[in-house]
Amino acid sequence: MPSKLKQIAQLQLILTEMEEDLGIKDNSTIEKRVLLALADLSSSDEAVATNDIMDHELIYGFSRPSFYRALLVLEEQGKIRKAKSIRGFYALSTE
Amino acid sequence: MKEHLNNFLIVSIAFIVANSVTLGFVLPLQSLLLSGSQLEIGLLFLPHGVRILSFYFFGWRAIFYMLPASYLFMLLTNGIGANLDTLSPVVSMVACYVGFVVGSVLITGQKKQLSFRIWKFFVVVGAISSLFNGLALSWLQHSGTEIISIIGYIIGDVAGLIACLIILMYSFRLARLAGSEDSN
Repeated sequence: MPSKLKQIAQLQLILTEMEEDLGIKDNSTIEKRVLLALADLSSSDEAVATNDIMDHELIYGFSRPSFYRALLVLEEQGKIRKAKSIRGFYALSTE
Repeated sequence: MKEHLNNFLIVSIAFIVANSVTLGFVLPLQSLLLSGSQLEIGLLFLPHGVRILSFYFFGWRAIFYMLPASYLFMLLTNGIGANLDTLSPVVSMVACYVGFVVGSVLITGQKKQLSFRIWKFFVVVGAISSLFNGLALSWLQHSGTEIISIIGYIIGDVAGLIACLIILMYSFRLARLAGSEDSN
């Protein structure tokens, strides 16, 4: 059974790569929520503290690791950026 | 033994579904749109996708997993007017597997696999596998290498492989999206 699960996981990995290459990979629910929370909290180009995003009601129920992973993914995708030289502040990407 | 039986069932079901769609939908549509095309050559041959994925996951054993379903569909295809040779399922499976191995060795030998996403590797290896399949089937069906039929096999197989991957991708995507909707 574990080998069968491994094969399914491999297949899913291959198809996820295909989705990425075709540019149709969706962001996960937590990633969408983080983006929406940041958009809700930020006015103009203002930076938002990570703690404030985490306390937003859209983020309620998600674990801290999932939250930070989502921040990282969104930053890598260029949808958000670190806003200040000090850590813990994010802003929506202007690109 | 139980694992082989499970693999056989999974591969057979996938192969039968892919063949059924090809036989029941693609071939009638093809003969409707392209009246001059040969019934023996499907221009969107979905089972090639199942073949390549099975070779990737199960190696040479996949030949034996797919042979019974392959023979079943040879009989059905002949029943609707095609004229496939009795040996064509065996020849096709073996040729495809040899092509798959040759393609894998060629790509791995050139150390290109690192820059290749696996799905692209499937497409390239699938095309090489299809070339071998086309050469073997063309020799079997027409007692010689008919360029047109070989090109037909390659187009059908590669298009079928890509369609098969896209169908799987959207199936997983739907399952994932449905799962994330449920968890909210």
